[in-house]
Amino acid sequence: MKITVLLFASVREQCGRSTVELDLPAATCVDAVLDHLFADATRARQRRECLMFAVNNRYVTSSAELHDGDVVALIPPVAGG
Amino acid sequence: MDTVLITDEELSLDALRAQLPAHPCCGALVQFEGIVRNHHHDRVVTAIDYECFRAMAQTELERILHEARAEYPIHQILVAHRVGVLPVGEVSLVILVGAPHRREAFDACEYIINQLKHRVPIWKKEWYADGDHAWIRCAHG
Repeated sequence: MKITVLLFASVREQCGRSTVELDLPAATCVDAVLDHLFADATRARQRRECLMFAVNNRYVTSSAELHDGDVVALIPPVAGG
Repeated sequence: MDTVLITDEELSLDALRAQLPAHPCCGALVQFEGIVRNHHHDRVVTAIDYECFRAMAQTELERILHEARAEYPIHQILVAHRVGVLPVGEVSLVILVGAPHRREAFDACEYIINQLKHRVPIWKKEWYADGDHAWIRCAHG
């Protein structure tokens, strides 16, 4: 299934891009996106500890199951205001 | 009638007030402005670069306003957030809440700003006088 991942702020800078297209097996959960983005397991774990996830503009838990066409946003700690 | 505005343009309190029609039921109007400050702990700040996931920020703010309405008897709400690079002294955020009485207007305004800081996907990168910069972490706690 095709998934679009949106990257922002520190994660965008770390990855050097703002959008990533992934082709993942069916029933992959949101959390697994990090393993595809960060080849370095330590870096993936560090990111996992501080990120929130959104699918199609709504926050979800890291165990949420993805579906074909979903847009996943990786949300580092926010700081509006 | 609620208004959510995310913009690159300068925020004018007068212009935003004009978008909020006066209503005879409102005995209180709370106005909050967030302003770029010249320091963060012991560092001298020169500007803040606000980055935003606009589509989700808009819907998340609308959800927060919906929650505020469910919790407090308020009549009007306007939230405007500026994004982009803002030097010290610029207004980054305006919240206007009109209500029959002041208590609910203050409480709703505080609820909105607290929730905004906690969950609306907006990030800020501070720029310092020494040329350094850093992404600010102030939520997810």
